[in-house]
Amino acid sequence: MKAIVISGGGSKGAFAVGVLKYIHENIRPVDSFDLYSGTSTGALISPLALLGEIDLLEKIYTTTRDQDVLNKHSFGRILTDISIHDATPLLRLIERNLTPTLATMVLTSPKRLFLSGVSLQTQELVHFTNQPAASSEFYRIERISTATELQRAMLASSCQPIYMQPIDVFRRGEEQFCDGGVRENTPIQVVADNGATEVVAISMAPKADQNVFATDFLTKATEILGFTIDTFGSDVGQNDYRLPKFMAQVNLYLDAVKNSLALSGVSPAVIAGSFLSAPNPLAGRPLVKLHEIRPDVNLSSDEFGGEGGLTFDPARMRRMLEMGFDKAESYFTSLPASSPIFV
Amino acid sequence: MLLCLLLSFTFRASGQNFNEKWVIPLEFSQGFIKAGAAPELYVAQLSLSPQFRMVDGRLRAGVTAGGFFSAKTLYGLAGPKLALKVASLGKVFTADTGNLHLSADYLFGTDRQQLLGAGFHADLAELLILSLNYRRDLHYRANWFQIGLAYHLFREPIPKDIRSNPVDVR
Repeated sequence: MKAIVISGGGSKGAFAVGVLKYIHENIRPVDSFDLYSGTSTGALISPLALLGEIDLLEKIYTTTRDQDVLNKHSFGRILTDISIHDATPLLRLIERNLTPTLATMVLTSPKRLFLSGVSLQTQELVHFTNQPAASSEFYRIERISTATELQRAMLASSCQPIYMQPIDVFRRGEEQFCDGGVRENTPIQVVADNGATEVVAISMAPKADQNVFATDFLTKATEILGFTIDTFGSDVGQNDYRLPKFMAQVNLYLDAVKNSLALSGVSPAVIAGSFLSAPNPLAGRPLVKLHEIRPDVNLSSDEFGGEGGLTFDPARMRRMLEMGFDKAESYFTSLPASSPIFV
Repeated sequence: MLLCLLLSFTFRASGQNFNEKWVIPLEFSQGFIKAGAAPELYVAQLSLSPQFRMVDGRLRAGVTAGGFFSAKTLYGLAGPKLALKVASLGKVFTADTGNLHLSADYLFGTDRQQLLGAGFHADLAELLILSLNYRRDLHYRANWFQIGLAYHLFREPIPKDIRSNPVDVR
């Protein structure tokens, strides 16, 4: 099973849309994957990607402006209100684009969707899904069943705490959810746990050694606080890849061992019995390939999406989209033609 | 002409605040009244100024109502007010730290005062407003100079829960 995973990043999601556009036009239809998972802006993109709505995604991510997403306010709101900014316009944007008809198509699709959020009451990582799935020690699964719940789950996944309100997805007055990026920015693990063999993971941040926070000495406490938050965020993003990469390496290793045993004359039944028995922690987790696609530059600079990707400027988003398209082209054209992603 | 210049300047000034549908700052100000050769009189004023958004992020209109104390006497005053944002202060983590705005008002006192005035205000983080005001009493031909501190007593809150447009048929 093939999966697309899209990280958070606000307006930097334009980069992911560029990658999806390249995939759709040159690799395979973007709605031909089996699993879709996203956080924050990735949660806004994933449902439309599942439906193959690339043109709509391109339009949204090249025309949206600040006021279409947030009613922005001053920093002092942190002392008197639930958040600094008001995300009401973002819910309206979601409602205009993921209409009830499209939402119903997502909810009834055989393809599986996971949108991540974090519970303010339990601190749990929660994946909102359109189909039944099992919770794990590390996350909870919450089934969404109506268009409104889907729209609100997309919103909750996008609401960066402090900046935007937490969201009561199910409107029960029991639990609030915020941006899943607080705990998992690129939600790969959940698709790995649900049978993905090959994952295209799109992150909006460059690799750690490419991510320069500042070239000058930091001389203000606010700058150092910004550095600290950025570092926490980067660490969350890097950790998202560690276990899935390890799983893929172990699965490839086990395949090599199985082949070696078969060549040595061990019967297939014995091999299967040895490796697929209950204690095998990778049983049901056949991930073998992780395509990691990232920008080469820091898109959080003022030149692109700004801090937290909270600057929505159509011209800059167009540039990020083109950057994503180009990055995908350079990545996929370097793969051998026999790569399973092309099948 | 001055208004056109100010508007042309403010429309270039990007910013995030001054976009509430309504605000009600409570202001305490003090200063002095100078009328001709007469000695200066201390004046203290307490007023509420409910204002409503006219142009998003730029212009508010409302009324001022309150009272002032001068020469051992209390007076009431009220009248219309306009506030025009002219600049945004710096940002902290993508959020504005405040704005600078100008005001104009025309207040009528309970003892025939007619105060036509203007003010310069620094709105700090949508919490406190520092003010510098000048008013001319057209009836008594006196000049009023005041500095003030206002607190946003009430304003449009950020909703704790965002309501969905109803779409579900359950």
